[in-house]
Amino acid sequence: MNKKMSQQAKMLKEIMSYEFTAVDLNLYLDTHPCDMKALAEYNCVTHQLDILKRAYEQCYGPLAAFGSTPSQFPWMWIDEPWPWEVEF
Amino acid sequence: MFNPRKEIDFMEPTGACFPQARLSEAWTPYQMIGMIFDPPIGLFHGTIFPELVRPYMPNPNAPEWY
Amino acid sequence: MWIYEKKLEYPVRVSCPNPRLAKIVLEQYGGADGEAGAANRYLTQRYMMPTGMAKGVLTDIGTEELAHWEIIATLFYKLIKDASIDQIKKAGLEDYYVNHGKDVYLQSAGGVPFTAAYFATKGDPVANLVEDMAAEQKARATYEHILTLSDDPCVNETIKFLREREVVHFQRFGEVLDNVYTFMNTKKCF
Repeated sequence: MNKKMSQQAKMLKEIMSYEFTAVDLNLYLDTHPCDMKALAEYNCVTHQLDILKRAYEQCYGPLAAFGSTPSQFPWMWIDEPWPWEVEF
Repeated sequence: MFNPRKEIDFMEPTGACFPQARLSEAWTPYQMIGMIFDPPIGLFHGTIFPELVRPYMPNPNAPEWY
Repeated sequence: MWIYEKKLEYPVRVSCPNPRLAKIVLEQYGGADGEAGAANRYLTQRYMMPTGMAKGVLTDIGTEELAHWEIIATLFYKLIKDASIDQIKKAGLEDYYVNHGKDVYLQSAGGVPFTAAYFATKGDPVANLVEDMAAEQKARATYEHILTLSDDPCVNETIKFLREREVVHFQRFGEVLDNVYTFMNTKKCF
């Protein structure tokens, strides 16, 4: 259980770092819409992030609900831990 | 001869530091992107842009009441 | 609409239960310059902005502030969940505990409930954006006060992250203000 938890936290942390890069680039692109270099970085990070999220969801269930991703059986959205309960 | 009106005209449109800045307007220079941090380093710093990193340094010269 | 993502923006850690610090970080949960105020300020001001850039930045930063709001709640939760009644009493949190137990409540560190009076919509994009820039500076200053009062290095990691985000948001709002000024000057000329 504990080992599984730490693996989950590890995967989450990697997703966080890529998604944070996407967030910071997103805000930059909002005010620099014609910056081709930043846009290329954004598209590259988006692709990496998608791979990481899909791998995580295979093990721990959907990262987003409301139709964002299909769910395995049973419905895993309600599985614990919720974000505030994860130990890093 | 010194013409006060002309002097004011000359001074009005620009601020002290930046030619683009106008008086009585807040003005921030546009960021120009350089290299960006790798994702884990960016998360650590709170930004992926090295030029925006402003670590917290308590000012040793701050007066006691500050 | 908004879609919840089942993850934090930053990996929140705490060293040990610390009800005193839990109460201090509440300032950024429901205080005057806290994350709830920031998110609501930006997401409320965006509707009448004159440019797509201004609407976009207010939407995106407002959304990120919601993630920061969740981070603060997580700090509070982790700092108080394993605290004993003795620790809660010693930290002077009886007045909080008697009403809320260990639940997080939308209030300032001083116990004042959150209010919409903490932010404005002024019917003027320049006034709104300058308020937003001031709000980022006030939040940064609050985070620095929290760092001064904190005795937990793990909590400080998260607080430093949030503090740096205020710096980045200030930069973006400054760029948006320039965009809005440019838009208004163009309107005046033609």
